[in-house]
Amino acid sequence: MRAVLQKALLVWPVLCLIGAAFILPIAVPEIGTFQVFVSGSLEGVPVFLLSVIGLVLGAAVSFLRSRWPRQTIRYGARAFLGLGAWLVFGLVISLFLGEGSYYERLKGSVVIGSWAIIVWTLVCMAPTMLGVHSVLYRSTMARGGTVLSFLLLALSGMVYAQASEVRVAHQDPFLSIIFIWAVLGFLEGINWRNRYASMDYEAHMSNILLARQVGFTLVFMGIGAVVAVAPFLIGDWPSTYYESTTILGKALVGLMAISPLAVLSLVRNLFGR
Amino acid sequence: MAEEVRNYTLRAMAYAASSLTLLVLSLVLSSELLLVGSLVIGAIMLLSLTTLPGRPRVTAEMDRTQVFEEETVRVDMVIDSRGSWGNIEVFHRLSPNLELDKGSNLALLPPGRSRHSFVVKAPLRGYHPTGPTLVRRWDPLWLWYRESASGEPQNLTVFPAMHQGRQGTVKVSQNLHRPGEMKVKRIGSGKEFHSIRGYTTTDPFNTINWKAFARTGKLQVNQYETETVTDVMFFIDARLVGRVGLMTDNPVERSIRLCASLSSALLNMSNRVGLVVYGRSVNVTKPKGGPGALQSILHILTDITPSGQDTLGSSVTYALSYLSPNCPILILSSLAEDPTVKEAVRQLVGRGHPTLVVSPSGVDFERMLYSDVTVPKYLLKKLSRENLLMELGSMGARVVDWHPGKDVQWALLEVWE
Repeated sequence: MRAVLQKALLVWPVLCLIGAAFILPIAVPEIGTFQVFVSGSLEGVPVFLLSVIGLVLGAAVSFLRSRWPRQTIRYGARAFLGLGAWLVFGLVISLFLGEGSYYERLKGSVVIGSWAIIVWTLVCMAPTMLGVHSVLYRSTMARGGTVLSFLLLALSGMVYAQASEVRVAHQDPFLSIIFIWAVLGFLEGINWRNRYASMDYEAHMSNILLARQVGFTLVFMGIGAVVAVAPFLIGDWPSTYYESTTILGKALVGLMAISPLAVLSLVRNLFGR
Repeated sequence: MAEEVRNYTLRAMAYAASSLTLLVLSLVLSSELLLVGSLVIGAIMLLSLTTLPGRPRVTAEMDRTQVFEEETVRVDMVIDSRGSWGNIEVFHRLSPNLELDKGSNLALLPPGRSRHSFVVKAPLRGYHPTGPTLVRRWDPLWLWYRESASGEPQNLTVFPAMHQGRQGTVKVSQNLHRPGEMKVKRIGSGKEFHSIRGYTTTDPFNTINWKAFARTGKLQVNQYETETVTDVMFFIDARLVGRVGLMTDNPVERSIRLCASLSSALLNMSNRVGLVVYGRSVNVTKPKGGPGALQSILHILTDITPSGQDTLGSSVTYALSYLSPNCPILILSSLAEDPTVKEAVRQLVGRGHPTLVVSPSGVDFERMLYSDVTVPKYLLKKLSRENLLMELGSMGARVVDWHPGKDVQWALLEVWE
């Protein structure tokens, strides 16, 4: 039982990111809108399907790497160098041989466009591919790559849809909450693993402490999500203080929602027992 | 109550920084989603910062405060704190010279009343401080804590290990001729009355107590206290040069263990034992006997710290006035880097003291520590040491060359007759 728990603690942080990489494209379709910037349309392989492909590829890469460790790294590194060379080649070709302004030359370049599509496809696959690889092969590099690619994917969905429009566009806060929960699950999971997986301590007490910490984390994440979403549910009431339709208005309302906690924390920290 | 120190973990800093960064980015990019992210992280962090268990009361008790080397001590801790949020971390400070045998001196516990125990092994003699207990009150997510010390430091006294060995008399011993007898509370052939017991056929008639016979109707004989016979003086080399080797096994530690074992046996046989410890300075303990003497000697041996470079010659000169006439002398020294050894032994032998030199070989301790490769420097030192021992033997002293491979039991067999 203890061994199973230890293994679960070892894989939990990455499982959070892999799970979120699956849930996000299904629950929030906005996650793939960045593709419009890359290829000009949303046509092509959906992000969810890319995540599934990444899962399979991750298992395949782990198998290859366990069988031929040096060769896999060598060919992988060469493939990335090839991508870099492709970009340099595309830049040189488009900037020297293209027509119009520099931006138009880059935007119209087929070589750079195809390079961007490949890179975007890799970013979409990377959270699941590198995540599975880090679990199967125990690779810390792959774990770091999982975090980075997940952040890129999620932030592209969160920022691009808003930044591509001039006004404050309404977005589904669910995207943000899943993103934050996944990141917190990863960070807290690392903490659980460091604290309990290799703990030379009574297993019984260790389990109690772990259960308490997991319980508190879940409760706090739930309360945190309610507090964060509250400003978006209040409606027009805060507009008497500031326009709730602006981001500054929402931020003020959000800070008001969080202020009781801040005051309590300050009091406990300064004058606590 | 001791003041508490508060501290924040790197994770707490990271959460705070992330929350603020997302807030600024949300304002710059007019992004609701980044604002939501900022508020979620901020709320979780603040929630955790507001919850902390009450300040716990901690008591830590050792089952014994005096042990011998290699023995264990059990430490029982009781932690009592109010509240149900957060976590408690206790860390009982231990001297680096103590080892954990079972359990851990660090415990992570939920708030409430709980017990924690661990066992400490004492591999090295000395007065080892334990405690106080450091107590940390953590929030539920282990993001920050308040730390304070609880309880007072205690000393664990670790006496040098004593070995039983084969009982007998020291080879150098001889009866003491002194103006008056010394009484010890043991049955023997002295003049002072001790007790009455039943008559046996081997008892002489002049010991029969006739009054007791008249009273009880059974033959009773008187028993008398014994009188001591020998003073033995130990010279212990506690110079820094004797510390070569491991912390727990070096010429000084070997000498101390042998001295403790011999003292115990000699005192049990109604002798008196004195000590001269030389190193940083020369400390003389006059010969003592009877109950309590062993405890006193063990405390002196426990307190020895190898340091300084006083010589055997200076310590003999200083201690001459404390030596009983013709009392046996046991010199426990590696004899390294001391040019006065020959003169000191000649002086003792010349004054009629039967002298026994037990010398743990510092050269071999050093060789065992660094390598087993025989180098010319080692051979020269070894040769020089053998010459010295031979010379001491020729002066009339008895010499025991103690190789690190031989244990204290072996040395005891060599010393006892």
